[in-house]
Amino acid sequence: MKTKWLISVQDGAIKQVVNALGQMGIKDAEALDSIGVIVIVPGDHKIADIRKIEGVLNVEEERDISI
Amino acid sequence: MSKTLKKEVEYTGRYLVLLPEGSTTSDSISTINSISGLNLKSSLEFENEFFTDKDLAKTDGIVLDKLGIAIVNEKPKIENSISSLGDNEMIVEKERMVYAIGMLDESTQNYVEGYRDAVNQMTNMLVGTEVEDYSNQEQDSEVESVGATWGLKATNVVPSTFLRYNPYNGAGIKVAILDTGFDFNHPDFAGRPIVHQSFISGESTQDGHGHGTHCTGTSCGPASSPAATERYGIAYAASIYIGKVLSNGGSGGDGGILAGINWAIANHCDVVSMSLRGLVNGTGYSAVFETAAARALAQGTLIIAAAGNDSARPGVVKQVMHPANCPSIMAVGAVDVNMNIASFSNGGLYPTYGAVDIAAPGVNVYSSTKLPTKYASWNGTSMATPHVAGIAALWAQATGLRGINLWRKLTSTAKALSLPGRDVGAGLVQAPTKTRLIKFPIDRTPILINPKFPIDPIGPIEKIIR
Repeated sequence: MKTKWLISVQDGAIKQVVNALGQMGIKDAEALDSIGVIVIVPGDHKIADIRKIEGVLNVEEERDISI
Repeated sequence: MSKTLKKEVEYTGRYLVLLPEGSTTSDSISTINSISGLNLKSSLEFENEFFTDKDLAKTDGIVLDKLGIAIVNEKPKIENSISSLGDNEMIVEKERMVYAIGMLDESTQNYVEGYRDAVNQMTNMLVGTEVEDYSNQEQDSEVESVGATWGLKATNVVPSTFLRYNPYNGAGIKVAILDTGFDFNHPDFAGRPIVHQSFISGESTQDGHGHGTHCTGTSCGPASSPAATERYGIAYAASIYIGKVLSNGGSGGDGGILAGINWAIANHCDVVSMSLRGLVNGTGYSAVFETAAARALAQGTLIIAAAGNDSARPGVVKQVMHPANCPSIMAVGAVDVNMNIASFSNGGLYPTYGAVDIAAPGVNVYSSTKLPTKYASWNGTSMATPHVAGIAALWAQATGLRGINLWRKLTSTAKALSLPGRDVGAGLVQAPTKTRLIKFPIDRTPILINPKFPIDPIGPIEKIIR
């Protein structure tokens, strides 16, 4: 399974970033409105490409978590 | 007491620019100038680095030397300049309007509570009392909880002295436990409404591991149970929100955890308990989780997480793990019954972030677990975390405090331990309690009797009505 990416966005920019991701071909973005974070399965994109989207604060790869 | 939060974010018209890590103020000013044409000043140019709005308005912006952040004025020429900064490893945000949260601050609250208690005590002395607000139900619950875990006693959830009692139960407070789910068949929770959601694809919220049921038991378990050997639950009247973010195997990805946090905030949960961790090597913390946690705090949700069990003391002390190492997440270390740091409990190795904020019982912790085992005593910062979450719910009920004010209440009331702050932060978490008012057994108090004028032995003169 591909590692997901976690994208934090500026306040009020979540729709704009989801739209920009859609234009890049990333359709299944999970927008977490209350915390301003988007979770995506990145495909062949590079983190640097995502960082360039206006409104993006940070991009990180998902980590493994356990008890 | 409830808090009113402004839903719409308001902006001042200025921008905050987070400068690249390690860059000096003078370098940053020249870089920004070359990129954007903006002429920023350094805060060092002002006496004691103090400047006013008027000073700021006279410039394109000012770099705060100690913080590595620039405050930039919004001007017509800035439109393109701002985006160019974002392309050069600088994080740009609009400056928000900030308001005092619509509730009492801590010192005012303490003053008003003290005033109220003094008035109540004086009133009771002068005119008697209806045994204040110590109800039968509270007495019953206390009787039933005579046998309580060492953790509940050490944290004052069940006070060890008769002179104090704990009337708080978490009623009206929503606590989210993000873990392996919950065993909905556990008899101790029969009839208790539980909101739940799974963020693990292909698995329901039913706990196939037992860890989530154990943590839920400590934070929100019942005041009494016919089957348990002792009371183990803290906020027994709190509303329980179960978010399954770890599989039945006990693992998951932190995308699911963010989804769980988001769900908890959307449901207006006051406290989020996360007994989980991701390994961290080296320095740094997740900027995404920090942003999320800061936004949670701003919305009145306190996130509490386990520091991690990776140490092997006394020889090896590992750092606080992800996501507890984020500054806006309260990290919990574990102590044993003798108030020694647990051998496995991680420590705050870095001075500016990743600190242990508070400690709680985490060795030999008795609580509920999935059937058929039903009860178990486990060790871990995972077990310490729900102690803090449950007690946070009690404080939230007792004071009305939320978010960062609730955080401060927990740390300011913690019991100091003779252990390094690196390991236990502010100390051992303590529940709110009340002092029991003792009613003296005096039915009639002779007052204003002057020995020179003894009471008439004949009795009062009857009033003659004509």
